[in-house]
Amino acid sequence: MDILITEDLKKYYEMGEVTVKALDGIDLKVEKGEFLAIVGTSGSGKSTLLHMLGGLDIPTSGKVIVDGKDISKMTKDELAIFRRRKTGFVFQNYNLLPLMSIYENIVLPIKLDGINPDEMYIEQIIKILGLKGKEAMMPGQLSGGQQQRAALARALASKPAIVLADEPTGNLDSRTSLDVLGLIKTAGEKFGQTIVMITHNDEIAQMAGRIIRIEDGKICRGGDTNVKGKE
Amino acid sequence: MLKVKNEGVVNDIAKTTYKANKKRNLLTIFAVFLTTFLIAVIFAVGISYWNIVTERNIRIQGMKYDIELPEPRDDQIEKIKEMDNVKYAGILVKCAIVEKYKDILLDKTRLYWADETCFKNQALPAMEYLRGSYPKKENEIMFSIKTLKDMGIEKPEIGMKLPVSYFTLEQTSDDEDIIEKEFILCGWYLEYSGNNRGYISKDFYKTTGVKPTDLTQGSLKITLKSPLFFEKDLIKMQKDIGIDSNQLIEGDTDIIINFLKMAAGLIFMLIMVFTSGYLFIYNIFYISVTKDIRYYGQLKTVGMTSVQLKRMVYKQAVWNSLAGIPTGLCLAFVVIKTIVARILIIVSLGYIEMPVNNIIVLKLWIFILAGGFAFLTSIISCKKPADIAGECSPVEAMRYIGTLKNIKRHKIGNGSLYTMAFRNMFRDKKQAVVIFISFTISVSIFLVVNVVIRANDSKYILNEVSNCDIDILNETTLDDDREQILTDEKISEIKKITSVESVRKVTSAKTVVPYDEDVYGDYYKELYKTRYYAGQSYEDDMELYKQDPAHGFFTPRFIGIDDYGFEMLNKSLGDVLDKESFDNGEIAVAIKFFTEGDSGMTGKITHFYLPEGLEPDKEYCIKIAAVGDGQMNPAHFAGGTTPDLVVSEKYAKKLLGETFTERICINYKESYSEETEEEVKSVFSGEKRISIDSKLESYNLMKGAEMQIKILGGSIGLIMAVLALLNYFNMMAAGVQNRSREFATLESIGMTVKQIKKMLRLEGIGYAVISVIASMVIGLPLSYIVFTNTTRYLIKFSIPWINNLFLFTVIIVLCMTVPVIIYKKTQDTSIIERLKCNEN
Repeated sequence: MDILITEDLKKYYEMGEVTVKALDGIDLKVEKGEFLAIVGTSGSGKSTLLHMLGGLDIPTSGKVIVDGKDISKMTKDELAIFRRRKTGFVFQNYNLLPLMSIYENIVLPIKLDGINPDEMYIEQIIKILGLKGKEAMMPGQLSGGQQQRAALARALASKPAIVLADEPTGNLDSRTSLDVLGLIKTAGEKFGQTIVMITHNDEIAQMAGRIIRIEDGKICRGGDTNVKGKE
Repeated sequence: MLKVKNEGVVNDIAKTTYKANKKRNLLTIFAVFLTTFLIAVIFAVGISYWNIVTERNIRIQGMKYDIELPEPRDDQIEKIKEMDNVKYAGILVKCAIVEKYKDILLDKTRLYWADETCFKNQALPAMEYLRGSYPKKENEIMFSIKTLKDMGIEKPEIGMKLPVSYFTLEQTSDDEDIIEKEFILCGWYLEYSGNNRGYISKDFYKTTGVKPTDLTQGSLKITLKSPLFFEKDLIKMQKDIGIDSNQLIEGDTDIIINFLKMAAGLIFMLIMVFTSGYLFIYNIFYISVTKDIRYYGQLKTVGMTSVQLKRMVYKQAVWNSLAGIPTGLCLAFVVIKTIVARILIIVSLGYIEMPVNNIIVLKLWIFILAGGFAFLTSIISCKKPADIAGECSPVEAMRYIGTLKNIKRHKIGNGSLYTMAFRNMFRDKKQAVVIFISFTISVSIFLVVNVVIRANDSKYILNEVSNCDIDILNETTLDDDREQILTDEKISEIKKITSVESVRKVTSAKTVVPYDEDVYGDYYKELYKTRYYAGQSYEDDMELYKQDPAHGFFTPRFIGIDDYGFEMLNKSLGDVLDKESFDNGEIAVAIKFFTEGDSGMTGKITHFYLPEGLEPDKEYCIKIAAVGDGQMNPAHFAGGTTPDLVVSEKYAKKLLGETFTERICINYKESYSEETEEEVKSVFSGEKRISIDSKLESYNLMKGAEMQIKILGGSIGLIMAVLALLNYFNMMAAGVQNRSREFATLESIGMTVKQIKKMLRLEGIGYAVISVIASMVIGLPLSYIVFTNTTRYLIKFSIPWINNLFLFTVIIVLCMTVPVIIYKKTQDTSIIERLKCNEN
């Protein structure tokens, strides 16, 4: 079953008199529980695609259908609620809120929905991600790897259908990168979540179930769901 | 080491940086401008006000002196002249009164003789101008312009012949000795005492037979070396010169207190303005420097030193000052010269005419001081930001994240919007403190201004101090040939006016109270310890009292009041009187002056005679149920030193037969009604032996001052509020922009714009509520102090809640809406753009 579909997805930017085609007709299908890696050179449009998939940016044209709903037609607030309930984001810069403790950061998306977090589940995530004992600490008191794990915990906390990771290991050393990635994969498998990850590191991309390559805003390889494993 | 000539480069960079920050610099210039303006205005108002008070006293007295000794003896004059603290001591003697000039009747035109010291050093400074010279020959005379005008002389000339009728004030002469004399005008002068007066020569003075020691005629005007003195100084002076029983050195003993109050008020206002200006300028530079810290880091990496960087920040502050200070001073000059002058004249002088130039202080030093203060504020405000810019290392500068570096572990909250808003409020403690202080200062000032406005609200004052709309007094009450003017017929006529609600009357008669040690002993002992009886012998006077209780020095008034009068008196006494006993004449209220407490009179039986009563020789007795002071006296006129007795009108009538109405107090159905007032006044049209105290007339006199105070007070409060609000806007704008990435992150994890706005609103409410609470804690006691020290009327302090609540609401609404507006205006790009924009 396809949890995520894009149809002729385009994102154009006007830069003076020049039109930059960041995405130029992307057609993509991602199955539920799949671990997809998007690779491409810098400026290829991979981050733009991820942002479109997560409802962080609005496409110029085309459709983004997540769990059967076209998010490209949603209002700002609908999109916010969509992100809160259906997606979990992991950024390269972690983007943890500096005034909140690690625990508060993790449960924030759930709290924003006005519901109490499933403590057992949160406890489980914290344990798996090696954050036990760090709950009351502030982001600034943790190392980069710990902060990224906390960001991952936050992405998983609301049990989203899709976890979108934008260069999640970009700021980490190779050992920590592998740790974090292993955790993403494990958590995704354990909680049955679809993972879409951007990376420019081929070695890291190899850990994904499927890899697509984007060049000049178009999928040049791996767009077909049948292409599994290596590109 | 060789000195490198890099001043030019630093200057160029400073100029480039300055030009690049136009908005910031305009704001700073505005702050410097407002600070300069406020300091100059406050200085000028404070000093001018003090001058006015001093000048007013001089004008009212028609002379410039600090204290005076009535009826001085020669030995006293000598002693006073030799005293170290005395600058001048001049003699002034009132020797005659001119009744007529040709056929024109004059209103008590007094003729004075002043010795040279008195005229040159005390009378002359109070004159606007003088033409001619002081009378030398026996027939020479000098008049005030007002007197000459009353004589019908519009264009006086030296040498003019002035045939007048006068009588001397020599104690053995009587009013019948009218003398006709032709004087020669030797001079005239303009003064503002409002009295008709003239000066005559020493030779003429000698012919009148009046002596300086004659009761109420002679007076020694004393100018002290220091115009600030205490009551104890006067008492000491009295002892040193050995005053007689009727003498008392008179002077304003509150002068030091008033001076200190004014100085404290001025200093307080300056501190407030200084702090507001400091916070505002500091804040702008602080935000700007922390925002540009990377730029400063870059400058350092290319070799700029800390000193050069600091100098660059200070240079910008100097340029801002150069633009803001002169404009602030110019506006201050215009405002002081126009608005402030008018306000001060109305507030302080009332009906006394005085040229504006004489009151308003527009001295250069005030402007230099104000400019200096503003410059200092500007430079001190930049110190911290300059230090940050200068001392941050290039690498630190590139990574500078402001105040977030010190956030430590804290208790896990519930993650609600309230918790988030609360934490955000204090994320930058310095910013929070600046917001709170600037708001607290301006709101406190507003609270004080509100109270000052209340203290000068004409209707509020009049409703508090006068208990009727019009008060009509029979001026013949104390005369031997007094006349019943406020007759029952007139009262009935007034009552017939449909718009009159009530008429109450106060009657009075002379009474004789025999000496009674048990009832009045303590009171008299206390009375003779006061300054007012300092020169009098208690023993001698009591002896006189025992022998002649009917002596005018002791005889009090026997005052009759109606039911309404009883209600008011009883209320002010604390409801201690029994109506029935009062009506039946079983109890009375004693009204005394000058002493504190009841001196043990309450509950005692006093004896009295009524010489004007049905049985003049009969001794009556009545119990003193309560003792009141002069404020509670229902009558206008007081009697001798023994306390007056207030009884019920019914009882007074019983003993006196027909009572004499001293005053009537009338209430209208609609207060301040001009039509009703006209009708009431028409009942007494042409009657000159009454005086009228009208609430409407007082209101018309006072409302001009009220409006001016509202404008001045409101403007000062408004300027402070503008500074505080701009501070808040500025900080919130910087805060929201600095948190741009955080907002984008929050949105990325699912926070709706609505939730973000709610969080921002909560932050604003938090700032407003805490500031309002702090302002109430500081501002309300402060406003009480200001009220009690500035009110010229005996009105009770009350908080103007409606004005204050309006103010609080405005602050809360502004604090709530401003961050949301800033958010809407600044965070309109996509989440991704904002996230990228803030990535290092």
